[in-house]
Amino acid sequence: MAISTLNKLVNRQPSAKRSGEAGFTLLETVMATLVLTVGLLGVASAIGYALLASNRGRGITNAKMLIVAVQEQMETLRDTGQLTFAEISNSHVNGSGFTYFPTEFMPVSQYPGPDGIYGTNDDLISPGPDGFYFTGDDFTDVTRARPGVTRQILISAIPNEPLLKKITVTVRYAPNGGETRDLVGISYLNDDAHSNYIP
Amino acid sequence: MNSTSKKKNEAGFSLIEMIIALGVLVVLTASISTLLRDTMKVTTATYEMTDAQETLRIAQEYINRDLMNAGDGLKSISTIRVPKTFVQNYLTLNPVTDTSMPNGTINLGIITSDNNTPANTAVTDSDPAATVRSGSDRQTVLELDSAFTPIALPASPTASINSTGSSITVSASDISRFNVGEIYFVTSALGGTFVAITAKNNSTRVLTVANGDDYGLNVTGTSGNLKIISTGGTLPTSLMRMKMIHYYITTDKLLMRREFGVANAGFRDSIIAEHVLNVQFNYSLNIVDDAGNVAQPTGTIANTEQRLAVRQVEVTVTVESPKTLANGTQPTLSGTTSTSVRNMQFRQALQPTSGG
Repeated sequence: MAISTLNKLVNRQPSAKRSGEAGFTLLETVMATLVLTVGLLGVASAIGYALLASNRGRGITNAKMLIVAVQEQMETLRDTGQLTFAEISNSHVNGSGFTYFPTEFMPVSQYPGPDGIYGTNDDLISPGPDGFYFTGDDFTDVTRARPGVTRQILISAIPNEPLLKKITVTVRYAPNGGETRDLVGISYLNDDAHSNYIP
Repeated sequence: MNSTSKKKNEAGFSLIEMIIALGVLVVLTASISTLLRDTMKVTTATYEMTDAQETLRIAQEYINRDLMNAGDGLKSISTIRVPKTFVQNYLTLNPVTDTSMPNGTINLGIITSDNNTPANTAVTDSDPAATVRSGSDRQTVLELDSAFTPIALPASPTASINSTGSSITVSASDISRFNVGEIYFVTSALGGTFVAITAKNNSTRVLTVANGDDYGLNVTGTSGNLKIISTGGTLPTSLMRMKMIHYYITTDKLLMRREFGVANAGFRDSIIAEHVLNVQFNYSLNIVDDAGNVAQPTGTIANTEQRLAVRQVEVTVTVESPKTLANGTQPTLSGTTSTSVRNMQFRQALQPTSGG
């Protein structure tokens, strides 16, 4: 019984093959490979996008820290009385020793400069070799700026709210080389220094 | 079998077709496998960098939260007397010396800096033994533990603190709140000091704070801190739990948060983040010199004037990716932010002689 079945199999003619056993043609194989390639390219580009998104996320975290630093500074300046509420402004207050916060995008310096306040025009000024400001050897030191990032501080009054200011901080950074992005943080500062600081 | 009888779709491939097909397949497979390999590398690198970024964010958030709360509960306390040996063993190698304090006693600030800790600085009482990562900063802040309800210690008719400042008597309802080895903070109109409980007697309700505690905090006798601030038990005092929160990095790149003033122990160490290479603290000071310059940020709080004038702390954390990437590098990330120390502004306001 078994031998006769085997013989039948051995003697089977190609013409007896069913059409479903014909295998793939070359064209089918090439097409399948192409489809697979397209699919894999899709996966690769998705991963590339994920990388981009991850870099953006990192940029956002770091930019947020630079925004918070300015908001914290404003609170400190008000609480310690280093600046009056009026002086926390984009324009100079008559009679004040403090200049103002420029409205341009400024380098984010690692030092505050002679006025001790970050985000002003003098941040990049180095005291020079003698270590003292307002001496002949002061110079602008661009290496004080953090690379790849600039920051803008806009301070605006709020209509009918003389005791409140809106502070909009924008950090412009380049998370993926050439592309620049802005992260905007808005906070409100009140003129409530008297409750914190007892002069 | 006659070839002419073969149906067309059974003709098979010619050798040349097979060679071309194999050639195409080889080229495609090679490019796909290269693509996949590169994709895997990028995926791993992204994962590692995201991990590092998360570490950075956690480290910043912990440190900044503690800085925001630093000084809470210390509004009206002018001096905090602590033995110099304790400060040097646990907090900083170079404490600020206050000329108004006797030798061997430090007036502890709300924030204590330790800039660029030198190599081989041991972390005292660390288990397992550890050393501070060379070149990284340490920082200690003080903050009231609001979970512990303060206890008023009356001076009369019976003094709560004995005349030598070696024991504190509390009420029958309070004695169960204390355990041997715990660290507490005692304040009076003359300032505050830390004490460690060395023994406890439930029946007499006496907490002993004798010399020779595990941390070297207690100083009894004539020049003892508890005796001085309570004037030998004749001033009313208040007993509370004040946290000393100390940050440092070990040589194993662990960012540690050591909290003195906890329940059931003298201190507790927690790992905040791994793969932390460096933490740098920079202190913005509210000091203006004669020429009108505001003092520039400093890495060291070096004297009593600076100790009172810290208004903002800039924190820079540097972390590395947890694993080495396929290209053999271990990239680092660095992030900087700044936190206003709200309660330092209170404290300075109350001490206008400091220049505020």
